[in-house]
Amino acid sequence: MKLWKIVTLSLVTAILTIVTACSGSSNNGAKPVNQAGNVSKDNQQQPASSEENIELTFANWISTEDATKDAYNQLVEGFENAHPNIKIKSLGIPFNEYKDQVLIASTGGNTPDVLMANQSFTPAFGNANIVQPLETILGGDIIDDILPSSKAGVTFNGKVIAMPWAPHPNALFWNKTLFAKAGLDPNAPPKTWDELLKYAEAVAALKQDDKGNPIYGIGEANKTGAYTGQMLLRITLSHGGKFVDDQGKLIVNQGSALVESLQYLRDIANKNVAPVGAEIKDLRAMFGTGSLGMLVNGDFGRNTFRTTSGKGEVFDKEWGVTTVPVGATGRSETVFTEHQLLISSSTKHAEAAAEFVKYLVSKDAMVLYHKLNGVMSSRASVASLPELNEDDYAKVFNEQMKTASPFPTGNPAFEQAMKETSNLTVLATTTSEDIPAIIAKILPKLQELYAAK
Amino acid sequence: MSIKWSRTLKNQAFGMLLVAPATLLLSVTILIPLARSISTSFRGASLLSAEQPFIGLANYKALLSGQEFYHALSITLRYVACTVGIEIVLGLVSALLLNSRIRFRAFFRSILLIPWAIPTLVAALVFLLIYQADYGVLNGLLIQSGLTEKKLNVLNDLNLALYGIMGVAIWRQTPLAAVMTLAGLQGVPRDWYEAATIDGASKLKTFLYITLPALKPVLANVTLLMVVANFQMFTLFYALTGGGPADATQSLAIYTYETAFQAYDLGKGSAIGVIWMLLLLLIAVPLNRVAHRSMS
Repeated sequence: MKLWKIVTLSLVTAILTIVTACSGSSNNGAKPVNQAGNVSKDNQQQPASSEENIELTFANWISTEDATKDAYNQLVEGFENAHPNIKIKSLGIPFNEYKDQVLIASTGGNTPDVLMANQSFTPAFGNANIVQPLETILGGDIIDDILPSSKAGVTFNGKVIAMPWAPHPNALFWNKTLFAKAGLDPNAPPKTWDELLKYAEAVAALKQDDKGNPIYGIGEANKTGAYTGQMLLRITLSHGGKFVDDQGKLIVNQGSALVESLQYLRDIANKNVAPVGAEIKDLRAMFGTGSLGMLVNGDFGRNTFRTTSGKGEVFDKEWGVTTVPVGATGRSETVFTEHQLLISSSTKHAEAAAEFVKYLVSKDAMVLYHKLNGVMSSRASVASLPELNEDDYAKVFNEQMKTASPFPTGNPAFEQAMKETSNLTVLATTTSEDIPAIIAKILPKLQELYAAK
Repeated sequence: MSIKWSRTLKNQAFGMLLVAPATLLLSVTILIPLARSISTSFRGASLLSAEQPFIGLANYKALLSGQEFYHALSITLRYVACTVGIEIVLGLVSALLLNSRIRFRAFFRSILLIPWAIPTLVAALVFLLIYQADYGVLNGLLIQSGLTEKKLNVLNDLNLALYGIMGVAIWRQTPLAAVMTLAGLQGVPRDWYEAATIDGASKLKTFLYITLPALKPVLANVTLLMVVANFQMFTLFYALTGGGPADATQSLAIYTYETAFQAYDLGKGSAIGVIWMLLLLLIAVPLNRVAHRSMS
């Protein structure tokens, strides 16, 4: 019986150990480390009165990315210095998992006090009722200072549910070296849509570089995925179209804009002016390596191209950036993505959370963030500051922001709709099927998505 | 009253005690989530709402009345049938070669498993480069050898994308089929072949009447393993095409992911999972029986 006792005791101990290990808190004596790699300050010496001290959980992805980690740390440090009784606990989640993780945490009743989001995530958080309207809590001074296009993107049912933080309008980058080789003026980018096509064809006529690598005139995303759908939406805007009307009704097929946009994408694909099956990451790499004449991209393009070219800041001399050429509407139509800040509806520290949001969008914080990462501001008074317009690059993007449109993300099916929309581009660029027939095939699916929500 | 346990009973109880932790662990990690998933499939569950009302068979009705589910099922069945079929044949041929007296047999046997050792995601990334239209090795070889003049855009071609994925799966999984079959071949008694030789049986007849029947349980098990693994394949589809171009490679795994985590419809996503599991059982149970019958 001795053996029985030993075996039973060992098994019970093993099971208890497993159960304890699985259920235990991760803070077993070790100092918690936030996603930015810093030791969380909540484990440092606490002041005597806990009532005066507040800890805010801030869900974000910028603390998980090398490019923005430093800016994040400095911003949080600046806030904590100005507000000694408020500590920020970072909940860093990688971008690709961000939305799902926040929604799952919120479903379990653990919504972070302050949430970072973008134009695709905000409607999902709004629909899940995990965030609160901001007009009252942030005050009229800040709300009225938001750029109109940004404000439109965060207003749902008449309420502002997110504070626009850093907008990323898309503008046109062109490769001066390739322009010169193609016999074009390297300092005269296209101003109209017709010029854009003409210049793209001229660059594509170079066909390949000295090493035999192919050269394309322009890059447009045309691989299945939400980003490709968003870019078709941008092209449609330039052709005078819209995805939804002011009431959120799907009107993408009204007029000839969609047909013309798809015809443009088909033409540049068939003539080898643009690569086929390309994602934006492929196109950014191609622009950086001198295989692409033009690319519509966000303000983070400069850093990306410096890296992908392998030449660093020296590569800046080889390209220029300008506003997107004027199309059917007579103005420079483009879209912008945006980092936004939201406050949980279940937070116990709404005022402190509002203080943190106000700080992050303040002049001081934005100047610092701009200096470190070149980001722009969605506040009119900050965007016009000389510190945020210190060079032509910043000026072009501030100018582009004036005519950029937000994505119509009000419908929670928007992201899915964008992926479905990308199939229009894919079919237009990879088949010879009649374009109206392609639209007739895909449109019912879009209508079904929008009708279901 | 004391119970006197026989030695057999004691051994059985001891055995049960030993498997108890594993059983407990499996219950927690498999049975409970499975039950939860089945329960969710009857509910209007969404990541956007804390409420999960019971809606009966509504999720199943919505699935079975639409076209998307059948499209995804058709893609999955085509993928599984072609991939597993080719893997079994190639695995058998490779195993026969490696079981025969060829030069460098030991070397070939040792390098055979390399593709299988490479993680699926890494294999997918390597093949993304191989298939790349402008810089990929595939087009380089095809154009240089004069087999084609036009560059193939394998993963962005509606008619080629699924075959592109199958190619990666076959490259990666065939070695496992070959190694398992080889192990089976080495278990066939030598004297059976000697008897066949004495009786004057041809090589084809020896293969058909000795090798193949002897390998039946191994082949049934390999098929079962491959069918299950490929039915669940997500990584290759997601990394290579993401279900595109234009849904041409939207398998059940991709469809489930999109429904549950992009449309946030956990109820419908669970319903796909339940139907998927039943289909897999329909295929797996008969295969399992064949394997067991052959072994006994």
